[in-house]
Amino acid sequence: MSGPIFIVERITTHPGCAEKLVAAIHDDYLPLATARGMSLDRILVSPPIWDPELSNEVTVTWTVPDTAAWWQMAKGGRADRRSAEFWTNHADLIAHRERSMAAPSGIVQELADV
Amino acid sequence: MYNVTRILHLTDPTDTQVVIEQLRPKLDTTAASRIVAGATLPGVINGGDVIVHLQYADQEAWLAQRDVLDKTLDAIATTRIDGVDYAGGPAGVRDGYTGGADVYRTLLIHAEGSDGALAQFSADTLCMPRYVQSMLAWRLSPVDRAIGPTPWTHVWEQEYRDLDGLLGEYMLHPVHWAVVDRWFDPEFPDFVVRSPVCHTYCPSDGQPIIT
Repeated sequence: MSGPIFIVERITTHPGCAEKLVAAIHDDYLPLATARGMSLDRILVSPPIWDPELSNEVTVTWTVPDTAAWWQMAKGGRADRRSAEFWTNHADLIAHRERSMAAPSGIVQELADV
Repeated sequence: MYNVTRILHLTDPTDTQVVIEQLRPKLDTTAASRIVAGATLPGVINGGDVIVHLQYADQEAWLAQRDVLDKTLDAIATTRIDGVDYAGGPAGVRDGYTGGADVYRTLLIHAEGSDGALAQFSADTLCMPRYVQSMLAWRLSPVDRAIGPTPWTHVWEQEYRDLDGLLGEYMLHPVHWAVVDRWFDPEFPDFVVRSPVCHTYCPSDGQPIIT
């Protein structure tokens, strides 16, 4: 089975909220994600400045090893809604959020060849 | 064509084959033009034990027979029946497909969202056959009447040559998990599927169901 598969969160924070959101992701979301097989790849902050008057773009990338693990992750998130609730509980920090799935370009054809 | 589906969650699932054998002659009295009654296959999720799918010329023909089906199913010991009544929505058939599918799958969905989100959910779902070649016939329909505890709004049906076509290609292709599934994902900001789905499938008799 091909992998890894990336789960990508692109978040625009309200001014001054990025540092608090990143801390919450580490403290509250990461344990839930790990429990359903997700590995934290990285958290990117742009611009890389903590400033109470600045809005940041926070990009969080997670990985799962393959498609089977992706479905395990997805089913886990539906059975236990605490990960979904994380986003509603921190909505006051977030101006906009997008969530998408991605894969390295080298395995795109392989993934589709099922 | 008007469609009626009932998913029976039996009190005693070990009775499934007996129930189907008893059910078939009674379903013949419902005046349906097409009758599917099959035991669900391993792997269904919230999918019950028996699928009953009936087709009528139109809604009027169905309503004339509704009491007959209701009484027939009331006589079966169930913990729950999920059901939907619906006219056919957008549908398609793979070029050259005239029958021979071994598996009929139906997905009952409860979706709520903005008109734009629901339209995109439908468009994304209906793009799947372009990528999933194992899907021989498909139809996405709005629900007129839902039965059971979940207010089902949509039915997504497919026919497959075999189980691998459903559990393999359909489930594993990126169009499923990277495009369509976001609408089912409670972490997706605009997700629309609000309740656990009824994902169920049974053997087909090989005659086309979705036309």
